[in-house]
Amino acid sequence: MDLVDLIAEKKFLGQEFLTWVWYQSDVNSGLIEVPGCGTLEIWFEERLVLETGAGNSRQLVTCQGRDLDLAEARTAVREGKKVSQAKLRLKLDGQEYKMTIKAEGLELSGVQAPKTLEMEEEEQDNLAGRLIDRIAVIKELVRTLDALYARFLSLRLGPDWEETVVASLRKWLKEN
Amino acid sequence: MSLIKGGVSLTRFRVMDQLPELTDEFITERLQKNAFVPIDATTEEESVGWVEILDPLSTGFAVHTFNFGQVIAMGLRVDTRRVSAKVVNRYLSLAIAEAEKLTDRPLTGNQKRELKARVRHDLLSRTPVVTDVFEVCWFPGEAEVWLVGGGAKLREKLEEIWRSSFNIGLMMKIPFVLARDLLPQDKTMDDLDRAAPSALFGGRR
Repeated sequence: MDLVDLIAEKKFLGQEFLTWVWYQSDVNSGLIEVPGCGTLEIWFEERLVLETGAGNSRQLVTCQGRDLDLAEARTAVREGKKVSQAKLRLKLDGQEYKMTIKAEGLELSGVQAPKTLEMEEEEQDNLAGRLIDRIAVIKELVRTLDALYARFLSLRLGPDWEETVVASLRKWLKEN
Repeated sequence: MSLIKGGVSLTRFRVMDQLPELTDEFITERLQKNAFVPIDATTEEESVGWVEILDPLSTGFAVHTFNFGQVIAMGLRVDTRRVSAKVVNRYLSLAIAEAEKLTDRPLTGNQKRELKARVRHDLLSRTPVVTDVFEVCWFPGEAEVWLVGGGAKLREKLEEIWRSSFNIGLMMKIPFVLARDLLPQDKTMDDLDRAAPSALFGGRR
C-alpha cells in the first residue's frame, strides 16, 4: 500500500487521537497522566477544525472561541464530523507550548516553544547555541506527544476501547 | 529562521534504511554533491539543494556547520522564479501584434509558439528569484528526520533530494507509521492492521 492510500485508510487514528485528547482534557480539567512524562496539562484552545466527507466532497468546518467546551463542536462530532486539526496548549514541568496538530499526518504547525534561560542570556550572535537549544526544547515536545500517543494506542488497541472508552466519549459528546 | 525564531511547523519522517557508516566525511561529501546551485544568472525556474543551516549562502559544509552532536542539521534551499500564464499571454499578445504589424501578415501557429517561448524566456530572465530555506534535522540515533515546514510539495522535494543524497528513503510519520514505532509491548502489528474506525458517531459502525 502506498503512502497516499495508507494516509486515507488509517487517518482515523489521528482523528480519534485528537478526539480522545479533547475528551481527556475536558473531563479531567486539562490534566492527563502520561507514563514516562508525569502529568501533562493540555487545553484545546480557540480553534478546532472538523471535517466531513472524503476526496472531492470533503468539507471543513471551523469552530472558534475561547472556550472549546463548545456545544457546537461537540454536536458536530456527534453528528459524524471528525476532528481534523486542533490548536492546543500543553504544559509540562511548568514549560508551556502552543501548537496546532493536524490529524491526518500529525504535522505540527505554529509551535511556540518556551524560551529557555540559555536562549535569553546567550549572545545574539551565538546562533549555533540557540539552534541546539531550540532543537532540544522542541524535541521534548515531540517526546511528550509521542508518549501521549502511545498511551492512546494502548487504549485504542486494547479490548475495552469500544465498550468503555467509546461509550464514555459518546456520553460526553451528548452532555451539552 | 523559524527554528531559532518564531513559530515552527514540523513534519516528521522515519529513515527507512540503515546507513553502513555515517561519518562526517560521508555527510560532507553527500551534501556537497547535492548542494544548492544558484539560478540568478539563468532562466531556470527552480533550484533545490542543501545549504548550511546557519548560512544559507554557503555550501562548504565544514563539519561544525552540520554536526551538532546528536543531530545533523542543514538547510534545504528552494529558489523559484515564476511567471504566471496571464503575464506571458499579455506580453505574447503585444508581441504578436507587433510582429504582424511589421510583416503585415498573420503569424502561423508555429511562429506563435516560437514567439511564446521567446516571450516566456525574456520574462523569466527579468523575474527575480524568490528564496526559501527550510531547516532539516536528522537524528541518526533515532532514525528520524524533521522538516521544519509543511505541505505535500515541500515533502516531495525533501524525499527526492534525501534519496539522491543518501540513497535511503524517508517515510512521513503519519499516525499509522508512528503507531508502528510506538506499538505497546502487549500489542502486535496485526492488532494495528486490524484496527478500524470506531463507532464514535451516532452509533454508526
